Parts: sequence; structure tokens; C-alpha cells
Amino acid sequence: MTMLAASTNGVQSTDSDKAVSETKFFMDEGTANPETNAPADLAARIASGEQAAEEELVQTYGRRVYAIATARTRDREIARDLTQDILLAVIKAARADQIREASKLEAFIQGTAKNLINNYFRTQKRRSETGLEAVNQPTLDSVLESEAAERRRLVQQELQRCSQLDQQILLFSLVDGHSLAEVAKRLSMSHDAVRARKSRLVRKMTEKFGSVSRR
Amino acid sequence: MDCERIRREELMESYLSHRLDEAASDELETHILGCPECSLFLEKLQGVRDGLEERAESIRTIVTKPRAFRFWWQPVAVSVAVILIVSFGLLRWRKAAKNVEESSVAGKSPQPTEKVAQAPKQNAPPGPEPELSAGGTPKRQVNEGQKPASRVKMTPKLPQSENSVVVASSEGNAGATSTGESVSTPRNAQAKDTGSLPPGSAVEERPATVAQNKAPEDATDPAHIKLTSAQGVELFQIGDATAAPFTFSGSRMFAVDPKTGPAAKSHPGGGPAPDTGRVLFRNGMTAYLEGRYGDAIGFLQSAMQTDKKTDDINFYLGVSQIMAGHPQEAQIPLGKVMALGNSPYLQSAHYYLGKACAQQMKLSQAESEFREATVLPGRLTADSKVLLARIVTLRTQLEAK
Repeated sequence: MTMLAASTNGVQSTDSDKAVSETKFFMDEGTANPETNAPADLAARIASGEQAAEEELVQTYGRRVYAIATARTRDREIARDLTQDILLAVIKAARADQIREASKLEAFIQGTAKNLINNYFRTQKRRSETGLEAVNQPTLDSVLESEAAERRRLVQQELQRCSQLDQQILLFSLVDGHSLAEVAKRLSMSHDAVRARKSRLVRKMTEKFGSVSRR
Repeated sequence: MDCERIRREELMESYLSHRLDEAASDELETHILGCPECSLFLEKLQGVRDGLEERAESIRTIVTKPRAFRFWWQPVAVSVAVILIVSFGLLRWRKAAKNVEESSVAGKSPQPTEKVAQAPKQNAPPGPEPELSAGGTPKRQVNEGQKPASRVKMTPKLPQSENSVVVASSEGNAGATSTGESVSTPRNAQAKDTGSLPPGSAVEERPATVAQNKAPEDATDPAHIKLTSAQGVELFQIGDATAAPFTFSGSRMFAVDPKTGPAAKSHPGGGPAPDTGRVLFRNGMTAYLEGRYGDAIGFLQSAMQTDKKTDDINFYLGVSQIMAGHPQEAQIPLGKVMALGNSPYLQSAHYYLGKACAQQMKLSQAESEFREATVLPGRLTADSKVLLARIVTLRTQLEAK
């Protein structure tokens, strides 16, 4: 997982984009340590030319940006491409020291992500692959892939155990995007009953994937 | 925004379903980027969603069957309600007629009661002439069938055909129509026996007033074909709107000051905020969030005077009009949002205008608005697709008639 550092060793500006595009951002977040790397430090270190800092940024935020892009686009393939673009744009800005408030690095990443995703929606086509054609496309991280497969299996297992009504509630709210009031109306149930059932189901299903500690 | 609030208010689920407004989404995304727990939670929810999508068809197939039997009692309830309304109206009319008859027999000028005044001239027994207005036309009493504005909030107007009967209800199906040959309808009944219906009753007055107000704007619109009870309910559900989400969280400059309350200004420099339009907007949105849509409309219209090109003002003004029961008023502000073209509220404007059109029974216009909303980027794509499919189905049914 040192592709970024290795690729940018030559400090060739033309190779920089390539390096970022090759970066595997789907690595386990456990290897990154965001607590010890404050966003402000990270931005400053990238601006000073420290290549390890770029790798840290990708490790820390890559997966989160991907989750956001997936939530917005609802397409994992497109989200993967967009994540590359977003990280590339952020690193470029950091290198050029264009992040005005380094302490608000996360807000900067969010803003960049939002703009690029909205641009994608406007053009309604996947971003141009120009400049990346000669580059090996990032392979889907096997950890992420197996993790996703395991999750799908667990979800299917859990859904089979749920009652039909519970399945409906989850489907209408999480997939169809109906509000609780709409779901309640559709199922002729009270709003509170739907809310309680949905909360219980979401908690139960997400806890199946490991405990989520709360702040 | 913190993890506790995200869990408590189920913001992550709303975000994933594209039901959070832009400002709240931005804030949540910024939090997710800085919080490993929440980002993990989002990934898990996405996993659940993916699993559900895979099973969506089978879940839908299972659950649609029993629903057909769940509402078997509705036609019965509608029939009973119609009978009660007609009986009550008949009783009132007979009492009124009796009073007039007694007073004319006694040779006295009767006290002009509300009931007598409401009786149309041609149906009224011999008695005093109705009071004339300055123009020489009979003064009409306030229509009993018309509900106060507060009662018709969020209630789409449903078609009033000759064979339809309005079912009064304060619940979700308020204003739904029922058609049935077995039901005695106002105009049919009047045709059979002109004196048999209570002139002052709500049942008789509705077609006279509502039908005039609802002059067909789109003559080709199949909405003017008679709707069955199920179609009426379907149209009502399509037009039923919930208020568009809004949070102050995104606009930190105008964040609520805990000491001085929501109406106070708290911009960085202290003292009065320089932008009066924004302050009015904030006040309007406070009223909007509290469900005082009438107040919200007032504030937002005032805000428009100083800040006419702001799409958020126009958008929330349009939504407030819909929520206040004036869908016809929503077209102008929502149209302004659309005219701007590149607005974050563009999809939502089409979506809510579609709702407003559905409430006014402009089905073809509603369909085109929902169709626009489906192709635009935003959080209402899934909803718009569902509504578009439903309205297309409804129109197909009506055209088949």
C-alpha cells in the first residue's frame, strides 16, 4: 500500500495524477490513524511536498469519500471513478497550498466531492478517461470485495428471518425513499409503530456487521 | 452535528434515501468524513440497502396481495357517510320549509333565519323575498360546504362530477369522491324531484360552487372524466404533499442565537444583520418549520421584495402555498425557480409543482412536471419515478374509459 509514495518519488508533476489514480483507496481504515494526523497537519505536510502525507490522506478519507459518492450516485462503479477524481482534486489543491483553512480539510473534501458529483450529474456521463488510459485502473480491493459479499450474505440471511411487514418497511424507507409518514400511510399503520419497527430493524441489521460504538 | 443526533434523528437513513435537504446533507457529509464510526455506519446501511434492492421484487410481490382485502370496508363506510349526509340535509331542509310555511300562514313576516336565506328562490315556498344586495342580485349566504382554510390544508381537490359525492372527513381521505349508481347524488336527485333535496345542505351546494370554481383549464385533460372511488383516492395520494425539509444548520451566518431566539440576528459582526431579505426569509422559515404556513407565506413574500432572485425564497414560498391549501398559487414562485435553470431547488420545484397540479387535477401537467423531476439530478428522483408511474397509470385508466 505504498503505491502513491512509490509513484510520486520522481516528483514529476505529470506523473502525479497517475500516481493518485493508481492509489488504492479501499484499504482498511484501521491502518490509517486519523487521530494522530490532524487535518491541518496533513494539509500542511502535503503542501510541503511530503509524499507520505498524500498517502495518509488517501487512506484516511478514500473509503469515506467512496461511501458518500455511492450514497449520492447509487452506483458503485461511478462512485469509484468519482472517488479517484475527488481525491486527485484534493491532493492537487493541497500541493498547490490552495486549501485556505487547513483545519477544515474535511469541509474542503466535502465541497470538492459535492461539486464533482454534481458536475457528473449535469453531464450525465462518466468522466473522461483521458489521461488515465495508459494507466492501470485501480483494481477493486479484495478486502472490500469480500467484505461487501459477506455483508450481502448477512443481509439476505437477516431479511429472510424478518416478517413480511418488516421487509416492506425497510424496502419502502431505505430503497424507495419514502418518509416514515408515507410508509405508515401505505401500510395503514401508525407513524410511531413504523418508526419503532424501522429503528429496531436497522439497529439489528447493522449490529450484525459488528458493533458500532457511539461517541 | 454529532453522532448522537445522527442516530437519534435517523439522519443517515434520510441521507441515504435522498430525503435530507442540501444544507443538512453537506453538514452530514462533512461529519462522515471526520468520523470513522459514522462512515462505517453509512457503509453498513448501504449494505442493507443493496440487500433489500436484490429482494425488492419478491418483497413487493408478497405484500401486494393481501392489501386488496384490507380496504373492503371502505366502500361500505363511504356509502354510510353519504346516506348520513343526505339524511341530515333533508331533515334540515324540511325544518326550514316548515318554519316558512308556519310564518306565512300566520301572516307574519318571518325572522330571516340562515336556513331560509339559503333556500334558492325557485325552491322556496311562498314567503318573503330573499334579501337583495345593492346590485339587485340575491345575497348568497356563506356556503356551508366550504370548509375553512385550515381544514382544507394539504387536501387535494378532487373532481366533482355529476355522479360524484363528496365525503366529508377530517382524515386523510377528506374530499375523496365516491361514484356509484346506487348512491343518490345531488343532481340526479334534483332532476327527479326538484323539491326533494335540502337547498341549504352541503351536499347540494358543493356541485354548484365547486364545479364553477373548477372550470376546466385543460379541456383535454382526462381528469374531467368521472373518477371511481379508488381513482379518487389514488389521485389524492399522488397530490398529497409533505413539507420540503429545511434546516438552519447550513447557514451558520444566521444560526439561531440561543439567548435572543430564532428571530434574532447573529451574524458575525453583531448588531442588526445587513440583509433584511435574509432575515425575513429566516423568520419565514421559522414559521414554515412550525407549520404556520400562512405566516411563512407573508414573510417570504416580504423577503421577495428585497431579494427577488433568490431561488430558496421562491421555492419555499411555493411549497408553503401548497401546504396552506393554495396549490394554484404555487405555480408562480415555483416557476421562478425553474426559470433560474441552474438551481439546487430545480428538481424539487418540478416535483412540488407536479403535486400542486395533481391537487388541481391537471394530470397532464402534473405528469410532465414529474417527468422533468425524474431526469434532473437530486434526491427526489426515486419519488418522482414512483409518482410518474402512478399518474401515467391513472391517466391510462381514465383514457380507457
